[in-house]
Amino acid sequence: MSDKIPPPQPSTPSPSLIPDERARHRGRTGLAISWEHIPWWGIIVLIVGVFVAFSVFTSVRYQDALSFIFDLPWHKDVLKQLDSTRIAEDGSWTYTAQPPLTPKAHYTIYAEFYNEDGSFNGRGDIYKFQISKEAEAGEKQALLPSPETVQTITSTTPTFIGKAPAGTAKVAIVDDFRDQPLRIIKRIWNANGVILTIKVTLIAFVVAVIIGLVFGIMRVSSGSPDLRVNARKRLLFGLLAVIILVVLRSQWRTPTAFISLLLGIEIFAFLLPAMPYTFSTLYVEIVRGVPMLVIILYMGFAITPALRSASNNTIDLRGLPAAVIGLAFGYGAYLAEVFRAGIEAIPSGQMEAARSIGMSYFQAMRFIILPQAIRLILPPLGNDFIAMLKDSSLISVIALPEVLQQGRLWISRNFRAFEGYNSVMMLYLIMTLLLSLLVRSIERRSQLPND
Amino acid sequence: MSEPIITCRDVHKWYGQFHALRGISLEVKKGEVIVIFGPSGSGKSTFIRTINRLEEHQKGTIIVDGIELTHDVRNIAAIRKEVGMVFQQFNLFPHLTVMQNVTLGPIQVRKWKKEKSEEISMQLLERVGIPEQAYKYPGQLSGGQQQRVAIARALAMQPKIMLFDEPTSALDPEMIKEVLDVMTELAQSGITMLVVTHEMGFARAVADRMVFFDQGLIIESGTPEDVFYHPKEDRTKLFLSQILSH
Repeated sequence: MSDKIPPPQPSTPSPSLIPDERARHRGRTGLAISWEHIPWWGIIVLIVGVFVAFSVFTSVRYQDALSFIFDLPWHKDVLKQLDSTRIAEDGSWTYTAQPPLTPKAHYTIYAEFYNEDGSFNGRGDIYKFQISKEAEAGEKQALLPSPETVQTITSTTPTFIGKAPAGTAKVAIVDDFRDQPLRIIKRIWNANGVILTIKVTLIAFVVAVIIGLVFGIMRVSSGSPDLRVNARKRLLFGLLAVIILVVLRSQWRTPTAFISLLLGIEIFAFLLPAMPYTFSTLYVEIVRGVPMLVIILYMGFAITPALRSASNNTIDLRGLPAAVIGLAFGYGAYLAEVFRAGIEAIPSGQMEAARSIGMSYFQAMRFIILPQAIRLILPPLGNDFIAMLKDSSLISVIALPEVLQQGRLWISRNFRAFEGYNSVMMLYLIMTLLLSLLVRSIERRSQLPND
Repeated sequence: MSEPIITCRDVHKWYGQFHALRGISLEVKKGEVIVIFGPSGSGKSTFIRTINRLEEHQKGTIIVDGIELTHDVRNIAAIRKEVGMVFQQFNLFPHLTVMQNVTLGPIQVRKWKKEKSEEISMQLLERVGIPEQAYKYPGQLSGGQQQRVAIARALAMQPKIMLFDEPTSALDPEMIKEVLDVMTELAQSGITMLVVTHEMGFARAVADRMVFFDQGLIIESGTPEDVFYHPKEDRTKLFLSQILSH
């Protein structure tokens, strides 16, 4: 049998492709630009772009702004803790590391000495040490200076003792994270600026797609279903739930509590089939009608503190979680409408055919409707992704150091608004243009052979 | 041909105010081939769609293979496993290859192994005459080929009953024959079939019984011989004269 099955034929481009065919073939590779037909404005953009890039990247001020806003770990160079410390009468200095050092990390420590009049008086020996895996704060341990060997220290707040000439000493601890690839990755992951913007956008978009998918499917369900279908079964379950609640909680064993509980749950059980549509429509209409900035401010300054105080600081959404939840919640409403439109665009015959071969509603959604709907909604989905990347600048209002916040910080330090905002714009433009290229190539790749 | 596999008693269906089915009673025996015909809007499509619950009937009983159709989803799922359906517009899944179209039901619903499903699907594709198209997408096939894939897809679930809802109405004339040939072969294999069609040649050749629908009612039913040559009702005579004279 199997020898009769012809193998899938890879479509090889024939040498004599007609122009339209050639364009289509090019589309399959995902490359959006045709090198044979660069438009006139493309050449102008290219020349201006090269000129601007050249002038910008050779300017020290732009370099500073861009590297500050981009905020890769090597911009901050190394963690330096340069603290003045007193020199004791016996000619030794002591220094306790504060804030605590990181377990498993490698460090370098050295001291710079100054005379009583403040003039520089040389630098002490350089010692390397590492913090052990199990190290904890509190217990203190003196470092025995020997420049040749790498010390292992079992405390995150060790006290160092060294010899010094008279005067003051400034002690520097340098984080040698570049020796440790894993810590470099960790630093990049935790970096501010561009990395934070991309991170927030990606996580929030994934969450928003999940919200949009769930609410979109709920929006497709009927708004006025036949409430009589299985009503008896639902009401029975409601009664069962009430009985269980009353058994569990003694304070609900009063007639008033029982009757109100019964009424509430039974009404809910009776209206249950209409709930998905009602609830999702409520969500979409409310969230879509509130500005993104308001949602983020509300999330950051209303919900987060309320949750913190209500849960005695166990639920703390400050920073990244609040920003991600705010963005995802706001965009989920738009994506729900996108998903609904995509699902409703699939002919009803597809669902009927899937159901007629015995698939359940969710199997049909998973294997038949959604794969087709997602192909349809890729352009608006990509659109919303880019819009979300831009709207991630709004989270600067809850003091997250993403691109815009980093830019404003740089400007407030240097008083150079042009360079600062130009750099911010350039970074956003690079990100969005790369993204739109990516979105376009995904769209082309997902086309079916007959489209 | 003994015990009834489908029993419909006084089936009613309303679309809002419109009374689409006004009391349909029909018994179909195992292995019987029934051709349903009638003017458009007479409820014939609606009727066969109620048999696998693509449409819900509001009054009366439908019993398929010993299971009564109710709101119980388990009953509906059990019946849909036993009832295959072929649609006027094919309704193939355009994002899946022909092979995936045919194997999807067996793998996801019957929970068969992929290899077993593909082997059976290949046999079915050979039976409908298009094994060489197995790895193409539906959009690359002609209408007749697509409808034959749709038949194979329905057969892959190994149903006891096949429903055909105007399977040749959306086809170009030269492709009708290839689909009817497959259906004729299927009818002779002994499967129970309910076919809504206006292909009177096909009906005459394979139908055990013909049922004439009008305005949501069964007007007349009988062997092709009776219905074609000795129709009792005036409505049937008029309709036959209209479709046979052109």
